[in-house]
Amino acid sequence: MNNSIWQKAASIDNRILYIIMAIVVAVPLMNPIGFPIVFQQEVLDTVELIRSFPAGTIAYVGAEVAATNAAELRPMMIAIVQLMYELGHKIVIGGFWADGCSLARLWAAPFLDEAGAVYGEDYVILGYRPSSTSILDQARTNFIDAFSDRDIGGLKLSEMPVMKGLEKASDLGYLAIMNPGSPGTATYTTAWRATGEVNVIIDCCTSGMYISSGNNYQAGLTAGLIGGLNGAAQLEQLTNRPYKAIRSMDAQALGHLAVIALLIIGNIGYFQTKREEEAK
Amino acid sequence: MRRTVPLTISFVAGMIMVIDGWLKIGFINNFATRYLMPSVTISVGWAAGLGALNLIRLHSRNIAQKRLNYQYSFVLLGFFFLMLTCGVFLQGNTTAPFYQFFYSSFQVNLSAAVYSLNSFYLVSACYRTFRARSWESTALLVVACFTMIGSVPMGAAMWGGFPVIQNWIVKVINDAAIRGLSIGVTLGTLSQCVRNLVGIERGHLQAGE
Repeated sequence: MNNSIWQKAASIDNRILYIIMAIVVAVPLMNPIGFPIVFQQEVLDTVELIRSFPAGTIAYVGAEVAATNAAELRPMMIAIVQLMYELGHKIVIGGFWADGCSLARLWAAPFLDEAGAVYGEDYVILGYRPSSTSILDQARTNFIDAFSDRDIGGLKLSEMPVMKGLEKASDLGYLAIMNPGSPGTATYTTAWRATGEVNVIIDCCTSGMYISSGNNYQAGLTAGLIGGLNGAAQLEQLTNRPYKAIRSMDAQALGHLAVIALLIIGNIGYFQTKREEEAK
Repeated sequence: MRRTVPLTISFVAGMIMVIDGWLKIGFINNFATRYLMPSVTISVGWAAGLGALNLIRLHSRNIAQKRLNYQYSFVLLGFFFLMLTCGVFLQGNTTAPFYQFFYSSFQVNLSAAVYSLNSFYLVSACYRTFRARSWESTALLVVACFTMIGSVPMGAAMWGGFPVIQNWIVKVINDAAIRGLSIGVTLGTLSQCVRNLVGIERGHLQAGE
């Protein structure tokens, strides 16, 4: 049976769809086009907020990440810790996703080391602990005890200069939480914001979480919002450190355009096929 | 007795946590922080250990009984014990070079690769399901197109109105819907918590019956 061109347009084979997407995503990754980045007010405000904290402020980075959200959260985490270090903030990185702290060590630490940060003095990575709720609750009264006085490599937190002045959660100046789901920003908001320990939480979410994160930001539960790859690209541009997010935005843009084109083709094919069938 | 004791423990522990959250009563706050909360961490640690044992048991049976695709169980158990040996016994912790090599070269890349395949399935699913068959599906299609084009810089370069429309859809329509949904879910969760606390909900006590 010979299918008309409209029937073919309405039912393109999966293999063709996959090839189109692979090309559309891979080509701009290898040869960036350089679409201009459009800034969102919330990202501009968030960067200003971070810059408003004086040098010496202790900032907590919630490395709630997994390899599966590396595309969005890796550039975001790198850009944010670089900005923190540049401003002279002390950085404490922790996480309750099983891979979170290990990935922070792989992703953020090399950039901090390259910038001249000293481990234990300028930044520290806490080890993985199961059960976010109980640990965060304990950290309200004794931060070091809650993390068993050990960092990711088993070194004593109490002997590190970076931990000086950090006895309880309320000693933290602000939090920047990588947020792909749960545990995520909501966990910290419940544990530390609702109890009045920390008032400034910056939500660095994936695009999948952007809707609920935007809601919390609008309601004032979080003080800053950087959403998805787009937010990460804006952050890179604002801190003058172009890395993977800016490059990946071209691929995302063309990917979105390809999907829209396929939707239009599919719908035209669907209606024409229907018209042909009705004419018969 | 089999139900009364667990229900009493649940009620007492739950009430201590509720009081700890709402009131400042020294000995209760202290008890919750020093004893109850660490016990949660220990329970979660045990649960992880139990999960690992279950994984070993399941895949060992796959191999022993030569079930379908049992060779994959070999690979899984091989890497499981390799990572366990490197991380716990051989070099003491997860920052050790040997562990890091397997972690960063295999686990991280494989996880990211498997997840990235989702985008292909997503495109295929969008293409096949987003058809303007009714008014509702047409609305969904139009909103999806505006959201996709408005969220990338190219959309703004094509027409300045795309990001404005996308922003309006996300900040007004979506936020309102999500807020209503969140309030509903929270109320539902609260009522479930109260049911568990006072022992109306007893499903979790009936394992094996």
